Amino acid sequence: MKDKKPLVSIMIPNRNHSMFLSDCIESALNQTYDNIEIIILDNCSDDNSVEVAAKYINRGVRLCKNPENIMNNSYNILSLMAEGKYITLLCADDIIRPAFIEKSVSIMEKHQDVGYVHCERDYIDENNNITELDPFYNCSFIAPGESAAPIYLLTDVAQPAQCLMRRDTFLSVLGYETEFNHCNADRELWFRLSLVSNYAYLQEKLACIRIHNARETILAFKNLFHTLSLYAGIYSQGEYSRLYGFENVYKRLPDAYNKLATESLKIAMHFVKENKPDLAKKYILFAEIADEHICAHEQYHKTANALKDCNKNTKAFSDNERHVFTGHTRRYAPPEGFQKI
Amino acid sequence: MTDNYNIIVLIIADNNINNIDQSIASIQQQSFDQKRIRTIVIDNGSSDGTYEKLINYSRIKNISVYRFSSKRPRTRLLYFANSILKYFNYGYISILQPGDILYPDYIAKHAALMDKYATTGRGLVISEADITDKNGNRVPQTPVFSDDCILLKYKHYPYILTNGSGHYVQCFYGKNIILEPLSDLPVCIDFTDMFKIAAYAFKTDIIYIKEPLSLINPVKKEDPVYDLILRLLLVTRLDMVNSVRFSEIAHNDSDDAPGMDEINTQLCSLSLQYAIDALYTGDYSVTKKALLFAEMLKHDIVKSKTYHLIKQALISRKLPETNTGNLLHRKTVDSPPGSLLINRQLQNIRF
Repeated sequence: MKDKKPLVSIMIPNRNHSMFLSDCIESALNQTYDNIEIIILDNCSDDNSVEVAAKYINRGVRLCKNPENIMNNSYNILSLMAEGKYITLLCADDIIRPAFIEKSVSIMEKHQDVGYVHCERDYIDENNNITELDPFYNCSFIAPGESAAPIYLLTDVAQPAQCLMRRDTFLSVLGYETEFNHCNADRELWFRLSLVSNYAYLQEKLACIRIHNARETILAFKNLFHTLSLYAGIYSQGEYSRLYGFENVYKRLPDAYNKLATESLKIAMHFVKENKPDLAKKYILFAEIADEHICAHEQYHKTANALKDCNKNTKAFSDNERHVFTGHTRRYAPPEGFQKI
Repeated sequence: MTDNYNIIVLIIADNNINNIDQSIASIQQQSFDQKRIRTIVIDNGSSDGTYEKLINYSRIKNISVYRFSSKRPRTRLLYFANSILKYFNYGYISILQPGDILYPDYIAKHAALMDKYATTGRGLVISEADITDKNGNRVPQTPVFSDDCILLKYKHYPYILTNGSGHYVQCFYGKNIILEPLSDLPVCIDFTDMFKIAAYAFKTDIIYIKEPLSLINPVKKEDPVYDLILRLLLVTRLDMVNSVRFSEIAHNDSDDAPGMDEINTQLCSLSLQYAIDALYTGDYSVTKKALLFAEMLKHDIVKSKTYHLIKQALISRKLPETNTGNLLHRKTVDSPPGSLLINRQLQNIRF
């Protein structure tokens, strides 16, 4: 007799996403894989999320409610309630495609040393319009965790909804960071998973990540918190890699600080354009703290000059010029030692 | 006073063969009832003979020695320590870094304060400490506040984060406070101990005493830039938490919390202090970054005399002739508005 397929837990933390919650739960229920449990943890929503979610209880969905909003910690609590061999964290505004679990589980079952798998995604806006994105890597592969780890010094590669993990591996690296690192909690988690297990990447678009009004993202930059938190994250990843002797990680540290500095300059430029010279200046100074060699770069001079002109020059920037956070070229080569799948 | 609980002093050793003895000796010399002190030492894979030395100590009653099966990352040591601590029955706990020394009344005074003032929402005492400089001299630190007082959670913490030196040994925890959040602070490396305290501060009021009750022997050169960035990160986070919290409870509590302007001013002074310290050690890159950091916090700091002197010294690679230390000397501040003064002399408490 054929063995029963392993249980997969789809964990959905939610706060005030009632308008997207149905789509999200439906996408979890519509999986082609049939041994699934769905757990929703509501973080004290003020909207009618609980009512929306309660409609699904008779379809086997488990609904739980936190007494207060505990943000990333809800992922950890969810992982303790989950019973699956595999887990996935599906944010309440995101969607997964019907084959996501089936395809991811199939890779994990074949490769016992793989601790987590990423698939590709598209962006989806509030009105369900889809923006197609370039895939991050140029093929599907399995790679040693150690060689995948340095990537996370530079970027997060994937969002939680694109990832299926072994629950054991997630628990063995102690789950999500909670209080001070929520800005880059994802990449931090991928990093720690890479230190203890191998990595698989599936170049198929099996998830949709909801992008909200970009203004909210910009707001988050007003007090430097995001950028400071990235700096602290890189520092701590550096410490980890030194302790475990991952030379390939810590030799990439200068690149990581340089990237952080470059991003700070981009944010500075944004604030110059928004006519907020004080904030722009903070980011330029921070760029120099993150990487003292940034002063030699053309972009540094451009930004610094733009700041100088800021008060005199009230020239309007075109929409195109305003888009400082887009425009990446992707399709990178896989990490060293990869095997195509 | 109750005497039906024990007090744990936890030491996590990692290649500390040369300085572990002084720490353990300082526990054995406590004026507090020795029968109620439990010393727990966990060895984190030392390879210099520390573990073998600890095994000898384990013959002494009240000292327990453990060893992790493999070396644990520094950021996670306390998390793993918890898996051992949960088997012990105790009321209070203190964490001692190897090399640091408890003064003889450390436990007696902390425990007495805890017995008297701890409540369900208040389970952390912070005391001042002396620090050993590189020549081995004991250097008293400027206390943060001029009086012993009780600081309220959320709103008074920026004072400690921007001014305090904050090592583990300065904290004395109630059991209920320390258990759950130990694993909470991943980005912090252990020398930035003060930031671990921040986790507790979000959950507990702090009983502050200005008397130094321990001696810290810094073992490793810290990264001042990282220290500054973490401090700013934490106060910014606290500010964000507070702004949500205060808007939700529609309460005028926030009036007593220092604003970001005040916090930036304090951190700015600290940056200049680090800039000068780095000048003396010839670490010009740190001086430069600390100056940038100061400017980032307060753009007009560049007009100040101190900034100017440091900048000149950085360019000329010569130490400033004026004593910049005096320009920067941190002053003890009055206990913050809204805190509760502890109106008694510590020695009047019976222990």
